[in-house]
Amino acid sequence: MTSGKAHDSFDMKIRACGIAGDGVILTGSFLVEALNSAGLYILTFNDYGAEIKGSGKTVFQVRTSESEIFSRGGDIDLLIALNNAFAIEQLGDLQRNAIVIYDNDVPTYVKEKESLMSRLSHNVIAYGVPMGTISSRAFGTTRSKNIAAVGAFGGIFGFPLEPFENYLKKRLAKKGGELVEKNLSCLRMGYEYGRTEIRKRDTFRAPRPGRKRSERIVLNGNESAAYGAIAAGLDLYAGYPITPATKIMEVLAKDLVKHGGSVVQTEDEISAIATVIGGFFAGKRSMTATSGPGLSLMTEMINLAVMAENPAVIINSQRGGPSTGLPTKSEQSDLNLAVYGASGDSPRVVLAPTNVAECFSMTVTALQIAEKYQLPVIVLMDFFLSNRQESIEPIKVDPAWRKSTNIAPEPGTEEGYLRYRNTGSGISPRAIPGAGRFFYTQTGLEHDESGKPAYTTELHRTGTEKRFAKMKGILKEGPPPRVYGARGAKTAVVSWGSTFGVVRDVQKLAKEDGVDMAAVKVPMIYPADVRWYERTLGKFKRVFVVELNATCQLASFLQGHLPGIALCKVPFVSSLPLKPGEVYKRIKGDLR
Amino acid sequence: VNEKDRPDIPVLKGVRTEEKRGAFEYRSENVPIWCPGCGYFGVSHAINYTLTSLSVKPEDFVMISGIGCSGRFPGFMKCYGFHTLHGRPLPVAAGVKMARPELTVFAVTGDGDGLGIGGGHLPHAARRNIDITCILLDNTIYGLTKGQASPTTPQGAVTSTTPYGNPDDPLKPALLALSYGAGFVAVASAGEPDQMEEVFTQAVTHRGFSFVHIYSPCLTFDKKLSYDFLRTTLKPLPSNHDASSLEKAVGVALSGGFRTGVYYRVRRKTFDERMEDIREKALKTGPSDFEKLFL
Repeated sequence: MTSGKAHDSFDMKIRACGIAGDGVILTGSFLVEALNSAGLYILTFNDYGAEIKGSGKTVFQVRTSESEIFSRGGDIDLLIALNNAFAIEQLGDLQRNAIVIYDNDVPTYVKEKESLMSRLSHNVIAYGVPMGTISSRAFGTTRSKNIAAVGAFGGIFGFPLEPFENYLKKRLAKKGGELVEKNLSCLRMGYEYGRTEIRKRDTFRAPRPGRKRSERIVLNGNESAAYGAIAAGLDLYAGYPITPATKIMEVLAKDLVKHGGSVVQTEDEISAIATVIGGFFAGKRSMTATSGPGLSLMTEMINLAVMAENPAVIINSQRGGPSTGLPTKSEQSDLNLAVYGASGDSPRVVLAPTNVAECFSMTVTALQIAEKYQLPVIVLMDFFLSNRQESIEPIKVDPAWRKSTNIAPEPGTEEGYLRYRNTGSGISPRAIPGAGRFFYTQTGLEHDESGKPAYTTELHRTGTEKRFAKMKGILKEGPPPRVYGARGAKTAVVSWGSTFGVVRDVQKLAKEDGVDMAAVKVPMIYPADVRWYERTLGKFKRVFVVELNATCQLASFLQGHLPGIALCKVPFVSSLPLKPGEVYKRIKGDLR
Repeated sequence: VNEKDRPDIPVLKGVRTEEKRGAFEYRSENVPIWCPGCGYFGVSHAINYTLTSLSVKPEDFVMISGIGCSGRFPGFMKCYGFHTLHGRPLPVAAGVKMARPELTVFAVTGDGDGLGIGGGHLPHAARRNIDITCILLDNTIYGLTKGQASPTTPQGAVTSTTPYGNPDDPLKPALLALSYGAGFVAVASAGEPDQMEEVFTQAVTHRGFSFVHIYSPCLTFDKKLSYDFLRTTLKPLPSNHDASSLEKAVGVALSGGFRTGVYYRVRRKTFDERMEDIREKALKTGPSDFEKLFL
């Protein structure tokens, strides 16, 4: 994690910056694809302003490593400056011995004290690359500086050229031979310059390429969730655009119809969740995705799904709140809304993936659990998880995931069929419209076993117990909590969502200091396996709960169930995904 | 169930129940909670008759309702029913139809449910041309909460929340539906079972979004909109009315809407048909990204 000393394992946090026209986004996807196919792990982080374009300043950040990546890490190791003036704004995020690759033949005159060079601290290693000249030689214009820069990056650190060439060939395949050749020539010139002209003064060395080509695929969390839904046989997606969840709908709009499904952009979030409930009522897997303001609008419908025992799946990508809040920033502050956002006693399921791969698997789980247990399942993602790209191991899609998990009544039991029959498990066999003469009317009113509205004390008590009885089965089927690195640890750090990866990196920082610390992952927030927590957390001297919200919503929720264990809240209000260093600093003194 | 157990319904006097015995197939064992004399009894019978004569099997029939007196509708029918939230029957019904186009789907709503709290859904169900039948039961009052002004309560009317007269102008449901692009718009009186049956039959057989506005008396909370009033005020559309003309339909609706019959009927592609077109178009662009990545 630290730099300056020799790196035994390659792990680099790279940021590219520039203004509109510099091709920062292309540089980013170029690096991601090429490094992934070179066999490295990838995790990106994009922090952009609320509105598209705007000032035209663009930043792309990627962490790449030989080993699995859990978080965006700390300060930047390498800055690729496609625009020198804008790069000055980035210098505060650089680690002490960072590297800057900059364009050393900027055609316009810049006052010395405003130049990038004059602002670099003496520890920073600067590699000048004549990006403009290289681009001009290949193209006749300086517009492809970014290709030259990526080439130089490959050459300086000793990456094989082939994955970079392959990316360009693939990306430009449709544009024809001449353009491909020009780009390749620009890339190669940059690469040669980096390899031969730069006197290397840093300690980063590209890992030796493995014998096997990497099979990993690069996805962001939104794509992963959308593909998970297709893998689970999603039939109907209804949604209303909202940052940062919109991409889920965009992926499904393009793909789901090719798999026989339907996608509808409804007039609002209420209609979206209503459509989902209607689709599931009719026996088809249905889903919506939203963010905080949309989830707020959906609460009444989600509550209907609880009372009427109708499946529903809602992906909620959290952004900063309250209200419209911070649409393009990350926060974990919708937990209370997801768990408690209801009138009455309203059991539901709340899942929280911690990385891109889990966005896929938990969407599958959400659809299965919702359908089987006839209740709403909310999947809590966040801005960072939605937008960050990760290299994930290839997923083998199992056709069994598509199979309906609905428990239907036996044929021949039509006479006297009770839609809400009390079975002990909380699951009443559910007949799908059109599948025989099992007639019933679902309702959001309290009701008897047949579904007839009734408000007696006895029925309300048995009805409430029935709805909560489902939690027992869900605890067995939902993703269980897990402890990582408990051996020798006196302290456990509990976290959820994208913060869990940060805690895994905090664990590494502690290890470097010779301290063992357990990291506890909570992938299913509600229902909570109270006995597991008592048994597991009770063993530690101290239990921290680290969260990206002001009130430590998970800790507050868990504490109510765990009166015997003191949970130490470690809240952060930042609007940006946490850095391992800042978390470590807060808890360091109490780890031993 | 013995039909003698049912409350006596004045509006149904003279209906030839013997000939339409099959209609009782669609009745559930739950006795309606509506007040005696409520127009909804007549509507309920007319729906049952329609389904009988069209041979819609109860197991293929879905009725979605919202909240209010109209919301309890599916509970009194033998069908797959869903008594949803206030104002939301249309999007739930849309979801049912999108998932299972082969089902016959009704969305039953009221003047408060469908034009007040849920008024934002009507334009979109109409413009998407979702192939469902939307029945708006208009008693010009909030009945279940005991008599407050609704979006169709006449201006000046005294209700429990407008003790000095309703300050707001009423909406014109048929005019709204027409301007939202509904391909089928009709008006009928809850006091005229045969008229309703005729209109419902056309609505169900129409491929696309069908909107039926029913004037339905609430004898408990609105003494003005009585059966007598409807009998004397509502007139059938002129015999030469051209239901294929939007202009004509809008003209009638603008004039107050006190005409019964099918105002407008045009066949357009339904949501399912358009979705099918989109699927075809999409498939021509090659395999999905999902397939490329995972299969």
